[in-house]
Amino acid sequence: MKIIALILSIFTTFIVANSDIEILKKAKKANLLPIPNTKIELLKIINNQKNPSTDAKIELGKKLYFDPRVSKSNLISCNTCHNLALGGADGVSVATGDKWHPNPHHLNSPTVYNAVFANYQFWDGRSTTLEEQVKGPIQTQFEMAMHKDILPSKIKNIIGYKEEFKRAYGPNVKITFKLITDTIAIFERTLITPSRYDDFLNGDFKALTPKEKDGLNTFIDLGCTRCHKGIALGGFTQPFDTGKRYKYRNIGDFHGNKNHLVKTPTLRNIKETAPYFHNGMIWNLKDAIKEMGKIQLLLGISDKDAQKIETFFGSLSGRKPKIKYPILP
Amino acid sequence: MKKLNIVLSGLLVASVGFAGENLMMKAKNAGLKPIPQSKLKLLKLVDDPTNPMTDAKIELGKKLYFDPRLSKSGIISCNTCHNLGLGGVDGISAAIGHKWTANPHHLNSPTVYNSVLNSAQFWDGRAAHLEDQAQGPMQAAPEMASPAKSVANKVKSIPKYVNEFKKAYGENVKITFKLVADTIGVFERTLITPSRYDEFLNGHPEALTKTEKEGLNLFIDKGCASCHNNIGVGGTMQPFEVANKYKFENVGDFKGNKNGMVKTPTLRNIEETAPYFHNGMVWSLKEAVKDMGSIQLGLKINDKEAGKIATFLKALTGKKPNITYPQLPASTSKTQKPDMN
Ligand code: HEC
Ligand code: HEC
Ligand code: HEC
Ligand code: HEC
Repeated sequence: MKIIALILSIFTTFIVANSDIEILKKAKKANLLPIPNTKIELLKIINNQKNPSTDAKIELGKKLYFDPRVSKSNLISCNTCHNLALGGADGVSVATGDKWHPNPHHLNSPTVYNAVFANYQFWDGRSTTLEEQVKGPIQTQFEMAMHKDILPSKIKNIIGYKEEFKRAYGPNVKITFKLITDTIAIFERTLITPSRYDDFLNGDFKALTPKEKDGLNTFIDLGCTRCHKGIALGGFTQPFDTGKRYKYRNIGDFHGNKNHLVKTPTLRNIKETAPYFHNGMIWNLKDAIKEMGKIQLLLGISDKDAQKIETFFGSLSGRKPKIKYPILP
Repeated sequence: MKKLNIVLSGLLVASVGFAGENLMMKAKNAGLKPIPQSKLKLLKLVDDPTNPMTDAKIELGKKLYFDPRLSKSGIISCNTCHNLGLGGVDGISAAIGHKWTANPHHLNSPTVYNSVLNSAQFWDGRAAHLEDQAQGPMQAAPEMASPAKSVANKVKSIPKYVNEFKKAYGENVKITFKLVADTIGVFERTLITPSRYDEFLNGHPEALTKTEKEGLNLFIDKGCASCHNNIGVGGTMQPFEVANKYKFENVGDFKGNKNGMVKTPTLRNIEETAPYFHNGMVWSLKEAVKDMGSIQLGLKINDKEAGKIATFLKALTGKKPNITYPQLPASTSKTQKPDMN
């Protein structure tokens, strides 16, 4: 009896391993890439050559990220809309900023976690780097509403900040708008969340449950990886809502960039970042999966397949960096 | 020459040391008390025996404190107005909450750091305990605007929260609005910030500089310590406008409780909690010190004295507890959706 069980288990291990290798091959072929598991490879990707990361810059960037005084009202920080405790998003349909103004295009806040892996930033992909991106929200009237010429003097008047900029960039540092935004971006570059999915792609076959593997398989087979690929599982601009219509297309006036291309969102931590789509109109993840099938692949995805993919998505919830809540100067 | 210097400086140290000890006695006689050094004494002071602290409750309370989903809109947490990175306040005159509504009485957000040391909460002292207090802002329309029932339901709709309540209070826990507020209260009880001032009162005269000591001396001599005393350096109900009118008394309609009494704010971390007074109309600490002299004591405090007192007050800036920013459990399809209106 025992011997049979043993043989059986060896046998199944073998089979599982075999199909695991298959899935892994398939995933690689579909351009699914893990977050590198060595520090050096990772740093090559997330470091900004022009402004290399140091501990002092990261710590300062974190303070600025959490500091509501970066906004005109003193009440809104990056973390208000990209809450690092809530998957890097705000959990509301339309981002709401200064004076309770909703985003005029009815846009939802994307997550900042893993944004460094995306080739394009913003829903229409109008920035290609985090450094460029961050200049936007600080100045936008319905977000932080801060004038770019006022921010540097506001920061310089806080003695603690002046000291920290010196520590980070040397005693002759000039605190400019660009340097402030570059420093916030340096912090954002650290916001990566390796998950069990990465462990699997990095060769740890036990990291995913059989159901999650099945879901990954379906995700690839249905063609989702045509757009949701690379390390970010997204981050490129893609056509959207061009053939079959998105059912909430008329909520807000966003229709992509001038070529109707939309930045494919990362699917990392997707279970934590409802509501979904650019206008935040879909709350249920299974509904979002089915809607994607309909619009992007002209497929009716069955309940069962949607469930499988959702189960796989659970493995994309990553390990968040530990962040000590900063005491601001 | 060198020798003389050494002798002189030795003398100076001795005299300061002596003055330090005298001042320490004087401070104690004026009712100023340090945050206890001993953990046990501290715990006796801050713990609530009806809901004793445990690590599980503190950690859960921290999550709730930082969780904006407890508000109707989903974007306002306790930390929005009592930012633990900013001395426990928001740095604006009148608090702004749901729908960008300003506090209708033009009230300023007091700090949550050391509020456990207060004997009354709110500017009019209408809550005695942090636990009672916490129920207020969650429901208040200009703050978080969440009905009691919806707070409890939101928490219950998130299985990981339910598990954490079980871990904190046992398998049969009933998650009520009151329990949510009580748990936030437990977390707030940990928000104490010992400072160099406490070291001084705990027997280390060298913890304060000469100017700080002079400032403390003035603080006592002028009579500030008659209201700003005990461990909280404030926290009791006191009359306001004892001697003179407050120059911004007409901004907002706050006039204290029914007897005109106002909760004396703690002066701990005061350097970090501008703007000052119940309506947040005074931005400079030196100016606030002078105003207090005139309003409460009928004294004209000159610039130099006010400078020294302000220097002393900065020694009350304390060490903040280390707080790891929490990861909040994800909402589910059952979680009530945020409502911006
Ligand atoms: C009022 C809410 C709000 C605030 C405050 C805010 N953002 Fe955003 N953020 C958004 C919205 C909405 C978008 C999408 C806008 C668009 O595509 O036009 C966005 C986009 C982004 C993106 C692009 C992510 C992607 O995947 O395309 C990054 C990165 C980002 N914000 C970082 C920041 C930083 C850093 C700050 C602070 C300086 C900040 N945000 C402040 C709401 C906000
Ligand atoms: C042709 C490219 C393409 C394909 C194929 C595709 N997607 Fe998408 N996906 C996008 C784009 C672009 C968006 C953003 C659309 C928007 O909100 O305007 C998106 C959005 C999503 C979202 C919502 C993300 C968020 O944060 O709001 C989910 C979930 C999703 N896709 C899952 C899938 C699944 C599952 C499949 C396969 C069934 C799939 N996608 C196939 C391009 C694609
Ligand atoms: C919109 C801003 C806002 C939010 C959100 C808010 N508060 Fe307050 N808080 C205030 C204001 C204003 C007062 C003074 C109100 C009064 O006296 O009537 C106050 C008073 C307090 C006090 C009394 C302190 C003292 O010294 O009297 C405590 C403690 C407190 N809040 C804790 C909390 C907690 C816990 C939460 C979350 C459940 C919270 N607050 C949410 C603005 C806010
Ligand atoms: C009779 C009691 C009393 C005396 C004496 C007194 N205070 Fe006050 N103090 C108060 C009260 C009550 C308030 C709150 C008043 C308000 O805002 O409505 C206050 C507020 C303050 C504030 C602003 C705190 C904040 O967070 O907004 C400072 C600073 C202050 N006092 C310092 C002093 C100094 C320095 C002295 C001595 C020169 C002094 N006080 C004397 C009762 C007193």
